[in-house]
Amino acid sequence: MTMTKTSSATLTVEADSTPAPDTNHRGQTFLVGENVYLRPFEVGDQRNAASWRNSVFPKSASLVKQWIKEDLPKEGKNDKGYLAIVRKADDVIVGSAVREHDDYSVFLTVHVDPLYGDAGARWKAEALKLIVEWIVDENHTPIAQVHLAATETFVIEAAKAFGMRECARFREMLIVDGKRADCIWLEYLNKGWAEKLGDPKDAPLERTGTGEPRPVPPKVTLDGDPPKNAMLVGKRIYLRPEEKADAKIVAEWARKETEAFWDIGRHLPSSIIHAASGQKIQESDKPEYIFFSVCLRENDEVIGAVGLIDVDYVNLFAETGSFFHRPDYRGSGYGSEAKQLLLEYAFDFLGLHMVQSWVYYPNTRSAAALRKQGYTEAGQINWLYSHQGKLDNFVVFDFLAEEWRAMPRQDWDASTSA
Amino acid sequence: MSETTTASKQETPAPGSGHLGQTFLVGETIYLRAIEEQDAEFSVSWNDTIFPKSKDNVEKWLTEEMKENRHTRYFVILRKADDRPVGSLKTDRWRHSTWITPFADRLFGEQGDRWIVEALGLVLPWLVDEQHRPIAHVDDVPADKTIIRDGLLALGARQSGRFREKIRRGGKFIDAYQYDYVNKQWMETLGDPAEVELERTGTGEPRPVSPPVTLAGKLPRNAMRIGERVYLRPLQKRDAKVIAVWARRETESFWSNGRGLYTVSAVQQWIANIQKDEPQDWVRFAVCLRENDKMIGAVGIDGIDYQNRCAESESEIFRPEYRGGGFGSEAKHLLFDYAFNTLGLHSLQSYVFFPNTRSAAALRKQGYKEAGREHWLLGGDGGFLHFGTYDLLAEEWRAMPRRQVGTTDDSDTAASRGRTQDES
Repeated sequence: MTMTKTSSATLTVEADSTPAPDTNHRGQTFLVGENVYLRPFEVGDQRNAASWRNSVFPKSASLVKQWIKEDLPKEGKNDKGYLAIVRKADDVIVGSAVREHDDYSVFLTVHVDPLYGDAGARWKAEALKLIVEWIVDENHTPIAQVHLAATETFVIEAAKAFGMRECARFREMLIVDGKRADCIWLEYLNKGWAEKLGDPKDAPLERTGTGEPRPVPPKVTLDGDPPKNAMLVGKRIYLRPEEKADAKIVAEWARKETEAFWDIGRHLPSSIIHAASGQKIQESDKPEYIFFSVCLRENDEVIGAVGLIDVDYVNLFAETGSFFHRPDYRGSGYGSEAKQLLLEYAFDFLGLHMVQSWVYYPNTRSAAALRKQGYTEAGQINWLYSHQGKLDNFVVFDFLAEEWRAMPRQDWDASTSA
Repeated sequence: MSETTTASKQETPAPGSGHLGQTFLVGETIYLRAIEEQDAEFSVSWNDTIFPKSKDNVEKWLTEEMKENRHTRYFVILRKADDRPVGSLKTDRWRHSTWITPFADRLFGEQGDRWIVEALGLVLPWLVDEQHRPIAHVDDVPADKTIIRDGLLALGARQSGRFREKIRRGGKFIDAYQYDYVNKQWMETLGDPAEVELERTGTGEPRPVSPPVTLAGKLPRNAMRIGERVYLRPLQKRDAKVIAVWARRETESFWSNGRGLYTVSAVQQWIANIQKDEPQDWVRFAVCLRENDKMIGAVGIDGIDYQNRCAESESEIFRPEYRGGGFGSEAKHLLFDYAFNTLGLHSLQSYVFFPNTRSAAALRKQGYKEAGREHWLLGGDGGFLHFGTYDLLAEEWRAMPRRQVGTTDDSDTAASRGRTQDES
């Protein structure tokens, strides 16, 4: 009995592997649309990788085959899933959909070969609808988000027509056809969860502080030598590379943390893991993460870290991040001084066009600091984490290089800035 | 006993005594020494990178990786007064030429530029005059580094070229200057390279751009840019064989200084190597015919500098029967569309061997402007030969007229699009 079942299943699979055109989707009960359907990737799909790989860089079929065989199976561990977008008429792969599962949400990246022009946009919209409804309605995921270039008006309108809505817009984040384009985030909520928790759009965001940007401290002229290994120097602090030994300081101060609102609760990081990951990323000649230790000029002590996350060297953007381990140096402008040096690094050394920042709703203090530093609110990315028996949101910010350059340069009295 | 004492004295010398006894490469305020393991301690002051690197990271590089490139050497610039590292000079040797890349800790500002000039004043005569090398190059000096530029001229170096807007500074683009320092005895033997005329063929008039197309129906397999007659796709492992075969059949020897032969497995490895990074430093596409998918050549951009938004363009048409029919230029404009519109680059540079007048004429037709020259890069018959340098700015390319796509191809496109619309 079992034997017969197995062999008939094998036969079906064999039949499927070389189907007549326009037959491969038959029998599939979901993720099949009018013009396209979605299926998992298989060895063999490397043959037209240029259509579905969402990268501007050319890769040979043999490299992509290696990725399908060796890396793709491991992506599940990273909570990532890949699907091919296939044209029904001739079973040609025209694009791909990648989903990244977070605790409560799924981020989607949908790509269709731009060489298909308007037809490609129609297929992309169709694939987006199939996958979003599958993930959110059928798989009961509370929320799904996708980001698109603002120039993709057809896909954006189609997404809005089936129930997605804009939740954030990062200005001038992308390069499209040689011009700067905004990056729009769209979200789609599970109806049951929306009924239970209410619309996240209506969740109140508490804003503290004046919201007024302060001048950028002018460049410091050094009287004598710069501090050892300093890369950027401010009035009271400087930025230098993160050393292996700094991980111990970070771990030590994490144990002494008094506040639970920066993140959702406190963390106890291992200095071994922190040092290993911090040193590993320094080996790349185009690192995705770039972190500096923030040190006091008066005694070289490490008081915090600032850095860039997910640096995109083609589109020239990154996310900024900062953390001050030592409570005694919080709230007296050290953070903003360090951030302004990081912005100088991001805009003048790396030549980034813009940066963005994400802040937990309850962390009003960091949000207030960002506004003081010149960032502008770009919207909200909803329902990413659990907080007080509900799902809660991130408020997101963006900051353009030219805005930062246009800000007045002037010293402010740090002691009155808290 | 006494030996040990001497050694330990050398390890921890009194401040300001580090140069004592050194007979050369010692200046008034700075001196140079070869790089040592202990320099990891002060790496930000000499390591020419904009990325933060820890002591452990630099130590690993110093002890494990630095030695891998036998043509590259690093010298630390130290301040005489207290032996503090304040900068570095990197020398890259290739055949008879040497390139010098100076660096000073950015936080020293103009003082750093003055130390660089002093260091160049020690190193140029050392490499070129004392070691009798024919020439040394200092490339890509930013326009705003006037102390270094004036210093180089005062030292006897000469400007050989200028790439427009090659360097990005605070959101603006500035020019980059090329200098060389020529050995006087060699100049006596061979004559002044700056006086050699560049032979130019062709009209020098740019032609309209052949624009890329999109297709609604069947795409050529793995196409990333499609033109009227050719398309660009990723280089495949199997292409290595075609490249090697056509290299063996090469009929012309003027593209570079003579022809070359390649092992298939070496080409395969090279293709895999340049493709494995993300983002890539060198992006190279196969140029294929739309009518039969035959690969006829390759185009690429090399040395992509994502901070300064520039790269060097390169191209070759392997099959002689497709040379001179505009296939190369069509492929090149697809490459420009990729470089300027997809990667968002601001400028492209190109280098052409002086005798290769044909490629130079093609570059001018494609919109490039002459930027200068790099002297004495390759050996010629009883002398050294030069390269002409060219540049193309994104905005210049965008402003060039676009060619009307031919009627045959137009109807082709319309037909495919119509078919798809019927299906949907």
